[in-house]
Amino acid sequence: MYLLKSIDDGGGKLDKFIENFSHSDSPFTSVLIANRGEIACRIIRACRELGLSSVAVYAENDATSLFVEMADSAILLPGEQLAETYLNAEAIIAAAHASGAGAIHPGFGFLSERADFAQAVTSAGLVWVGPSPHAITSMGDKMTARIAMRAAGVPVIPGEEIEETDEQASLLAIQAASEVVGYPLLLKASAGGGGKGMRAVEHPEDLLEAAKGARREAITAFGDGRVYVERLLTGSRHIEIQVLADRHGNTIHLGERECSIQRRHQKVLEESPSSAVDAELREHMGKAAVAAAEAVDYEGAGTVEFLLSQSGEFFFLEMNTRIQVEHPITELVTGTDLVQQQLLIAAGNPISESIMQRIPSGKTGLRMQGHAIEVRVYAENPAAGFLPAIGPLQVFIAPEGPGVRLDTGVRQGDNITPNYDPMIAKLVVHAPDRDSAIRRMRVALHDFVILGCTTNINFLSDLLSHHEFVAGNTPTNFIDLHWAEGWSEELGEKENLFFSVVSAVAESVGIHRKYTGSSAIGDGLAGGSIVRGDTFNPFLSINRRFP
Amino acid sequence: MEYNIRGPDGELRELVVQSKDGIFSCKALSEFEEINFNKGTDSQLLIFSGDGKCEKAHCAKVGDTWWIHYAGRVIKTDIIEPGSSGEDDAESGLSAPMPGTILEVLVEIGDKVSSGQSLLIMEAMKMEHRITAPFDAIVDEIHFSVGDRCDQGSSLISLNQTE
Repeated sequence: MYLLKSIDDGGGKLDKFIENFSHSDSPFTSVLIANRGEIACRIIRACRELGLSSVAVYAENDATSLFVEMADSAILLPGEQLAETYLNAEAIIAAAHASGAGAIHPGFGFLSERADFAQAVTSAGLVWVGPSPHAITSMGDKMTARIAMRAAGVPVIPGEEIEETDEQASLLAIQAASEVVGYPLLLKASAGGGGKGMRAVEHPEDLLEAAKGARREAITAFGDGRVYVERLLTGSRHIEIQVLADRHGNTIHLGERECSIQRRHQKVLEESPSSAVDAELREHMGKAAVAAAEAVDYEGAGTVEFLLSQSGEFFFLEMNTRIQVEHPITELVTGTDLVQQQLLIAAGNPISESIMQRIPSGKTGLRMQGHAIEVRVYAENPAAGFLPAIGPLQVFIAPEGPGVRLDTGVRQGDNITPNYDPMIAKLVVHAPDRDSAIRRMRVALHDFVILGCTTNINFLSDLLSHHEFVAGNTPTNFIDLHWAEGWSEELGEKENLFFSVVSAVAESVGIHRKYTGSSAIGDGLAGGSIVRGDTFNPFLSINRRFP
Repeated sequence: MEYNIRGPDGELRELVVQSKDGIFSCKALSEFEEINFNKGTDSQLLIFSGDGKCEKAHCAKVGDTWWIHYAGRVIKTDIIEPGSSGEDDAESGLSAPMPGTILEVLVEIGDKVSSGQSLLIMEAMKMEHRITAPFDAIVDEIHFSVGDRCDQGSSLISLNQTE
């Protein structure tokens, strides 16, 4: 903290920001991150910038992961199963006590939306970086949330809640509900998110199989097989509003993110602002989101998700009571650091003055600048129905440059394993307008080299070049609509030959030798790894001239 | 040196790579007569085309697979070592794409199945995956039953292709 203060020259804004945590009455100076991977790295970075120390918790198979290396200290959670490690509330709270951490940041996924965990953290005398257990309970359960939203005057999609837990009874109830809701419809796990336990059903004859699958996946993923049946609005867009609320009576929104481009009901590309939202609609949706947050006395950062129909009507989908994967695009267009705001608010501070000042008078939301796009780089095979892939990141070269940001939890040499989510990185760009953001993202994707594990980068490049995407026509079924037969790499005969030739030459040159096992040798003459005749190596030309 | 490469299109090609003074070329194909190659730093391969242009590809080998990054795309090829049959079970699409658990077996031995038909459902990485028939066939053998765990690459089901 001393070091950070000394960086600031004039006792200006930075000092004021940091001092929230340097006061002796600050409720915490060390934060335990109950998560892993990319989001753990993101939170650690925010902690460091605020002068807070960070504590990681990790499972055995994460011992060499980047986030463990980045944290100021790290505590092992023994065990093989998630229930023993990242879902082990008791062990995580014990780790917080053992390490002297005063607060727990849950990230997203894992325990982030478990009200009982939030309660246990608070009861243990620790600060919970997130909304109250009451807010999580009201919003976390999709059925309760819909009821609460109707009461707050926020429009909701036609849907039926299925309370039955017995398989036969619930299948009958789903059948009955489907007749009320109508087709096409969507089955969703009541307790879940992340596309798990979700099935789109076009025709009545497909309902039974889809319902069985949704229940089974919901039970595996969330331990709760309840589903709800919702009308599927075709041609609609997924628009969500970021909100921030503190305990001093401020609830504001930070504009929208459009997350329509999805596969397997998981987001692939997000952008802000949306090409379908104008200033008037933004204010309208923003007000609804603020009303939703206020209805549950929300505190911290949260996201209210809406479906925007072709006719311009919007409906409440759900509220995510945590930081979202796609939060960086909002940070870029609003010039805020949402994770730092989460920490400041959890410590009892109001939303930073620098943010409040930028809300135009008479509005509830922040002014947005430029355009930001995020793509999720997944280890998956887009040519095989986006099936997750695994493998070593033998070469991992991230793009860089003005307006390019990469949030990741891996580095070259790491392995993508089946143990965790297949997301490798979030590549984010910011530019003055949508067209230049698209161009910037194309170049960034072009320059992103990942070898050894199949990724969706080639697909993402095609997506960014698709004329309908460029035109801003992005309904939620975009991928199914434009790649109805599935995506495949399209190479001509000449390209097929070319890549075969490059492989043969690479083998002949021996590029692989410096990467293989114990015989690996570094750069330099001593290792003998430089091939004779390397015209780009000055030492070799010296060598040649003076043999 | 001669190499057998199975290209991205699945085609097996015999390619002869020559090297002279550390400069590599592949004269086997007339299209690429003018192209020379040289080693770059780390994973880079330098590609000199006839018009004096120098481009770069990044290359890495994992097992028998070469991963090539060129012009913004990543493309895979396989190098077939002399003596191997060059056949790959994984290509039939009937092996487990990753470690997981069998959730449902939708066919029985002797069933006639048509191309694209679902054969079994497995769970891996908390998602369900459908294993489908790559061609019209008769089910010959089923190697796993519901609840079994399978490793990546294990053969799940055997099919006899029908005309």
